[in-house]
Amino acid sequence: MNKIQKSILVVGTYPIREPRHGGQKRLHAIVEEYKKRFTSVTYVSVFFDGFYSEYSPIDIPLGEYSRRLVQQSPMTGDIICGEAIYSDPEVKKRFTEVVNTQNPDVIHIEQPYPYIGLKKLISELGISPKLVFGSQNVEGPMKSEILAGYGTDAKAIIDIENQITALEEDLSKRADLTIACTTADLAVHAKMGATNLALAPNGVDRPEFSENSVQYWRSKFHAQDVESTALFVGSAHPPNWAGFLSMVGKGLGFVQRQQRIVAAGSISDYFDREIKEDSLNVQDATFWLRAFSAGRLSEPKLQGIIAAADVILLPITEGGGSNLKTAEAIISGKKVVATSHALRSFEWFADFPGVWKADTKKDFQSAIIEAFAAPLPYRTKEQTQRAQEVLWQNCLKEMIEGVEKL
Amino acid sequence: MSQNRVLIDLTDIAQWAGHHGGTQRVVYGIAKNYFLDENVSVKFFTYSSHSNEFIEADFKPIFDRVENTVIAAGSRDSVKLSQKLRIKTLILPYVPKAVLRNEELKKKIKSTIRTGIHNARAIKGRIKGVYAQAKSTVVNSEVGRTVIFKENDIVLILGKPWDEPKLQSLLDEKKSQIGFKVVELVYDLIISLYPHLHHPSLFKRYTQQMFKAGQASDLLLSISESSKNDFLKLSNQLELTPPPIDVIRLGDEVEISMSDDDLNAINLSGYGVEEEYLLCVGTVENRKNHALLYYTYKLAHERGITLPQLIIIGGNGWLSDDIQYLIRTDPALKEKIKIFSNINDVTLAALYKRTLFTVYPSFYEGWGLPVAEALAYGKVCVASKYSSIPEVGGDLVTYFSPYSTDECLAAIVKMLNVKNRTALEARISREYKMTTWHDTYTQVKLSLEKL
Repeated sequence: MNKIQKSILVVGTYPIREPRHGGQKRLHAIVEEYKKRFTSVTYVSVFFDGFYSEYSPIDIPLGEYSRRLVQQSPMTGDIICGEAIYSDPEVKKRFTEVVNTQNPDVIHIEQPYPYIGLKKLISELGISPKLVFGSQNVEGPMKSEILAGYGTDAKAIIDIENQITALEEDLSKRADLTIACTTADLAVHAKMGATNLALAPNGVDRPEFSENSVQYWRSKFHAQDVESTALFVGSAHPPNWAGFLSMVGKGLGFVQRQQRIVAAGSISDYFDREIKEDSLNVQDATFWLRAFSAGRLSEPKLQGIIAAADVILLPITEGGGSNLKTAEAIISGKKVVATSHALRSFEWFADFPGVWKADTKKDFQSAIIEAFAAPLPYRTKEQTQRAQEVLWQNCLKEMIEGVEKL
Repeated sequence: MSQNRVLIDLTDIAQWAGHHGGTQRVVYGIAKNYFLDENVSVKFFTYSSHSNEFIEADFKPIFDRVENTVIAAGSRDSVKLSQKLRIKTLILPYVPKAVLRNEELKKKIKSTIRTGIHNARAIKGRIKGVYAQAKSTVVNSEVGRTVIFKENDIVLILGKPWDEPKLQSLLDEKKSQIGFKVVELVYDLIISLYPHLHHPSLFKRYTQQMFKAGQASDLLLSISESSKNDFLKLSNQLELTPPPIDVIRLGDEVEISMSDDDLNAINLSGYGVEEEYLLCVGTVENRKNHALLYYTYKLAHERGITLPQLIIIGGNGWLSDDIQYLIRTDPALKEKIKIFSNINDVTLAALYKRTLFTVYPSFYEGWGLPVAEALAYGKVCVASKYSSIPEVGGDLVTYFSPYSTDECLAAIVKMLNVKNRTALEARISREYKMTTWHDTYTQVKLSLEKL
């Protein structure tokens, strides 16, 4: 297929050279899909280098003044990055060079924050590219939730939430195309004034793992006399830990001797830090008899542990957006135990063989017991095809078509 | 007759040459009755941490050793007295009175005797060690083969598997390979559920053992309804589906072959024990709540109530230094409350026999053997109303809250009344039935036959 003549500039608040967290993965996939379809695609981020050490030469780290602001208020780093596009002279200079060089037909703004400075810069430069608003979540309430979790002053939370909501409303009205992860988020943006909307659920890359990495984990578990594993992959995002505690819990008496609950990714930090078997708590004292913390893993090791797992756990109980982990679970072909919340945007998957939907701790635990005992799920041809829908190329199809039409 | 072969773990007693403690008494009492029952198929084994294997064992040498010791201990010639009593009753009568009148000389003589006893003990300890080693070699070399489990076997764990953390893991592994059944005995959940009442060093190991036993056992035996309920509570906290739990009653038979006259002849006044006294038996530790007795005596003193002397029998336990210090140094009570440890069975029998009644203020018990023992001696007991204690004594015991000096004092005063006490003693004599180890064995056997 011939590429369409269009120059796309994608702007974000973190680099995507080494995508690790969900936002990076999504943005990386968006850029890759744009590259498949359009002749010129450039990604530039304005970012705080205290959070990210891997970036491309075109990415723009914050200048000294903005850096200090982030250090004072790390939770609002993305707002500061967005403002820096116009207010930080160093950043503004480099960003203007990128815009002038790329002369974009379309600027894709990932999450609303870059628009804070970009709006003023576009006006100053006197250019009028088409704007695409790439929403990952409805940010206002989510930011408020995160700030509250860190004990931020209530008045400051309200101010920040109002500021972000105003920004989202402004961009929703102004954008020529607004994309969102879920139909629920689309509805919110429509209410904010967005008229041209496209659904772009989170997706995943086709799983790629080496036999070596699978064998590595199988041998490791075999050495501990473990036959089956139920894997929970997640970041050290507080809701992930809260979800695990409320759905699986620390009492693992329902997990049998040769079975293990396995944590992988930075969520392992919580496991290691929070559960000390020498504390005088019966759950803590016995937890590690039936749990295993794999820690933060390289991508090959992570793919290996997913391939070696018998069951994937999605104990997600809060948070907006669609969940990348759910898409990964769907494409893995493994047995899956998930909450309704984790299946948002993938409700159809609940009817697949080898999928248990459970929304209370008791049901979730029973589902894990059943899943361990169940045979490998067999998918029909139609189900196999349907599962492919979670691949990025399919998830972002509507977005690409929308941008083509701009 | 049971169709299944029963395999009993003797790890706790096979290599033990000393006096049996509580757990060992249980293992021995049940194993002995299996051993003597010709109608059951039974084998014995021990766990070897050295080779991480289950080794076949012979019960006979253990039986001979224990039964001979009991017989010897029961005979009058070999009555073993405590050190203080021994000095007072056996040695001092042979020391010229003139010497005894000289306090300095008397002290020197006592000190010399004590040093002699100390050295003799050290030698005895070493001999015991060598004997135990030799004996264990005999036990193992007599049989010494790795146990070959069969699918229809029932493996009975009655001891303290938490002392050998790999024992349970090996048992689980064998069970998953072979498919035999496992039955384990739960004593109590004090360490796991009431960690403030026990030294924390065993918390992790013990709790993990309960977790594994709960998962691996086809049946649990519990020594009381209270312990059964606690296990269910623990299971709930651990999200564990517990196996069926049968409650068995432990043996409390009192085996003293000495006559009442002989017991009455033992000189207790040498200890400073008065004619009338109350008795409290049990390790002096935080959980046993001796502090309540101290404060009850203080309260009585404040109210002008005269209580008889209180004799506490028990070794030094965890977190007891403070209360022992109070008792030993309080000018108002130091003669009123006496603590003795290292009391032999015969002296203890004499103390039980001659006490007015016993008191037992423990916060928590898995069973409460001292209550059963008091009743077995026909004595009244006033005791804490919590955990398993009411199961032991039923309505033959007068209860109080272990948190209330008022209630404790009221219960003691009530039983100091001769009429009340003799009426209750008469009921105890009529109604209390000792549980023999054979009774316990019969309950275990019936439970196992249901599997």
